[in-house]
Amino acid sequence: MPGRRPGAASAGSVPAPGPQVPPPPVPGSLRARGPSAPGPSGRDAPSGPALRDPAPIGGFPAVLTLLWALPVAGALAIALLGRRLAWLGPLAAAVALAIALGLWPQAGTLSASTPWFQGAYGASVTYALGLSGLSLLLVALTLLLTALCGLAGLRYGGAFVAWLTLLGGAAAGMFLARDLVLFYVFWELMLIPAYFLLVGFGGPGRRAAAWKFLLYNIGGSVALLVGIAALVAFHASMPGVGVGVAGASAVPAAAVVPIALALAIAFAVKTPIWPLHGWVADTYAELPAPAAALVGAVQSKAGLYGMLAILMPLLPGGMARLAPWFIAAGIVSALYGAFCALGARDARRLLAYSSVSHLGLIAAAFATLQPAALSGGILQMVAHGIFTAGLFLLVGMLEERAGGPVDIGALGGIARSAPGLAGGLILLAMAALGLPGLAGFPGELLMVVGLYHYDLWLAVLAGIGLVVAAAYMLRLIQLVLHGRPASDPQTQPRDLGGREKWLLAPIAVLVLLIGIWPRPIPQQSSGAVAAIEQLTGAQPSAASAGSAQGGNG
Amino acid sequence: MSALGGAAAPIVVLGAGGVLILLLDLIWEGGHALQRVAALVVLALAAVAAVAAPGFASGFGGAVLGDTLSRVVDLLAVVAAAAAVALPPASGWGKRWSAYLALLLWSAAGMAVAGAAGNLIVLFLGVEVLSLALYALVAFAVDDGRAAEAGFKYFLLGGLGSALLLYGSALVYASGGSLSFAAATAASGPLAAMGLVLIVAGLGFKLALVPFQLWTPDVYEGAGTPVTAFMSVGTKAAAFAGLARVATSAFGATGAWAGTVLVIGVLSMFAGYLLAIAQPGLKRLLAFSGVANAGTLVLALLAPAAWRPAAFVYLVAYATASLGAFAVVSAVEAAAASPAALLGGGTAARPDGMENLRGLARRYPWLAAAFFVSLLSLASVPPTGGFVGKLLLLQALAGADHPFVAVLVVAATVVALYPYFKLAVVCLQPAEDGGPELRASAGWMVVAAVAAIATLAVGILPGPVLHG
Repeated sequence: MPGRRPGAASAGSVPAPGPQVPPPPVPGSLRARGPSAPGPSGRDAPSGPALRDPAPIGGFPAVLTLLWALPVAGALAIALLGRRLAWLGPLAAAVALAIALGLWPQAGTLSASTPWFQGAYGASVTYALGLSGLSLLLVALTLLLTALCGLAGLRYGGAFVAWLTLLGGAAAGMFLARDLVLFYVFWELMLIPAYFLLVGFGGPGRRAAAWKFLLYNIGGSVALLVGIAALVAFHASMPGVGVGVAGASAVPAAAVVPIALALAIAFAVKTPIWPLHGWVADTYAELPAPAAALVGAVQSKAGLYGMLAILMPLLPGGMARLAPWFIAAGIVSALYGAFCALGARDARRLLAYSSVSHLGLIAAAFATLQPAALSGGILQMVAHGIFTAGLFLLVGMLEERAGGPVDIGALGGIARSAPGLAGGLILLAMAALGLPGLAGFPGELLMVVGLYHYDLWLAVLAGIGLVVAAAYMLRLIQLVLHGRPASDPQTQPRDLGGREKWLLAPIAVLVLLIGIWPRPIPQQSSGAVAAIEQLTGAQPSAASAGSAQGGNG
Repeated sequence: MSALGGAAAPIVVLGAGGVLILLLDLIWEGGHALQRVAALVVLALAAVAAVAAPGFASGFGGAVLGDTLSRVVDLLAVVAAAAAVALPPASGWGKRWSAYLALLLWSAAGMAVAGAAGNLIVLFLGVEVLSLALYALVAFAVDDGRAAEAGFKYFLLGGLGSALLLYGSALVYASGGSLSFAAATAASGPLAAMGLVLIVAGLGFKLALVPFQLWTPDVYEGAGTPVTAFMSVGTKAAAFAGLARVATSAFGATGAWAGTVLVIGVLSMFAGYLLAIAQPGLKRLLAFSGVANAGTLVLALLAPAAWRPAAFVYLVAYATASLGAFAVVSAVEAAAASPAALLGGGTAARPDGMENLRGLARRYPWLAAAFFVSLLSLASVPPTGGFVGKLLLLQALAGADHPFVAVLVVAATVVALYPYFKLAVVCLQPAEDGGPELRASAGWMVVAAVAAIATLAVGILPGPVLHG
């Protein structure tokens, strides 16, 4: 089992065979030195003892491999052994989740790598996995939702559960990958099941939605491929454990911004951030509800994770240049998504635009590089995953009862016939609009604090988005749950069954738990936040000082 | 003897094997199964001879080389020929089955010669041997007007290509007084430049590079599908090896040649993928896909220090994916042309029509899965071999100061997704009649399964291909 070996802490996980030329005077690389940087001679040494980043040690990362390979094996088992065994998928995800939770205390110390193949010019591509606190949070979220959505999707048959489990395994692998090429492989692997879930099991408009999904996401993938191929060509490597301390990467100054731009486009499409969100509403509306839950909750985190794990540590200079654009696009997303959700009639589209709004705010918060915003954004990533998945599952149950898409205006009075369903919907909607005491609140609060530190007006704009969020969620609750029953009492939707209750119970518990006691999540992500702060420290704080003055003056 | 045991061994095995098949037919007329097994044994022996050869060998005074490049060509020719043997033949081939097998083996021998060529005249010999056998193979279904027409077209344009190659070699000889690749490098002046242009054009015909690709769609469509599968892999591998040998010794000297390869490669890449989108038939689509892949492949030569691993992985991945795709095409085509399908309203006009794929995923999920793996690899999506090949190629180009070419390769990859994903979507669509009804044959399943597994293996564990 891979363990910690503090003595072998050379930050570059890929030994560059060429002569170690001193890095060119890249603005980003100078800024990459934190205040505790040991000076020019310690270029390859970890920057601070608190952030010690053990280089991936040799050996096969067996335990970490299980986390993504178990779900993939479950999916293959369903395909090979027969579709009656669909429960194997959720079971495999649950076992992997148990292993991941067992690794909770060790997060941040686990990583290992083994050579995979030799690229051109001696660049070695490794099979490297690492479990930072951030990775652990996202992997656990992924596996939990894979298991729950798999169970919810049993009625669509074995093939559906197999694709869904494969999607979960690929997403888990992506959050664990510590090699750029490996990250790309898992990123693409995530696309294939999502596409087949859409064309194979989607609603009547699935073909158009699938093309849109594919065009946007392939465009993003291609941008990512260009960025990653360039980074690999410059011998830049992903940091090992904990996000951070990549060592000043050897990317020439002229290439920093183009590469960062390519990566930013890829991550913005996946998240999605306005104006690259065009695929999201159709995809979420056409996917079967359990698949929409998993895609909306997990796959959307891939882009945000990419910002934290690749863009910020490897190209701090490029990130600093792009930050204003990221913030602008993120804030526009937050507002645009909120207003679109306000106008949506289909519950799925409402949730899709609500996601655009939430995720845009997270992206803007990340781009400010304020510690509070980073910490709150990561917390919100987890919380958003949980309540979004719950909302999609609930809407799916409503659709099952209504026999078609949930038209908000055409329903009403459901609270009377289905109090349990109504209670769940209220709980999750309140979490989504950020009610104190529920999961959506602490992250949102921290993000707004971070935005305020960066610029007062950003916090004001974010606040407007939150008010609109309250409006559309309350509109959903009011129109669907209360008011006059749309049909006679006999045909009103029935309440949640026993199985459905058990499916939603973990989500409801987590929504409450994170709302009341969110501390473990920032604790796990503190390493990543501190590392990013150290790598990108100088520039943003100067900017924030200036803008804070401007905002106050 | 050392030459026979080393560099030339696979050539000898393949050539003698063809004769053996004909003799078998004389002794035991009509023993199709026996002949098929004999051909597969010969191919296996040739593969063993190629793999067992020492790391580097040279025979006949350097005229025949045995190195990684020749070994890759040997193995690809053998594998392609094995696929063509294993796939069920088109109807009406039964009488001349032994001739079909012998021609296949001799064509593979020609490919091996071209791959092992140590000088221009041996390269020409190899290209001629493989081409002459292929002219006959393309026109093998003599009763079928389209096959005869395709054979004739291929003969005319292929003959032109061979003539250009020969004329170019002659000019290089006239200029430098030697036919070795090294002499081609050393030679200078307008005569040698002209010669090299003609050599590139001649090999461009064989590789089906734009603007020498005009014959490709018609010939691929007219030939029997096993023959198409064979030529799409073997000919490209052999001609690429020839181009690489000329290029790596000649292009190092004059940078202008890099420009020629760049223009031809980029044009082929984009034209191939764009034209593939508009094709109504699967074989024409795969023909243009082959044009585009050949164009992408030759771009690897722009990175003189790093082209080998990139080109090997790319070539092997293209070969496995292409064979897998053609196996499925062959199965669907046979189903569409079967009497039952014709009675049920099928169209004989275009048995490889795209609409015949409908319902494949529902009816034969495993065959469809193997097809999807091939398509994903052709579209360079991980975890397939096509992705690793493309990644290595991009890396090689970026490191060789051709980042712009790398961006063009990526742009072409985006275009490529459309035709391949369109095929996958058609497979998933429901069919009114429940989908193609395949004849019971292990050939399609075996070739498609082996190709899919190999494609995935190259993508997941590319080590063996990378290290020769």
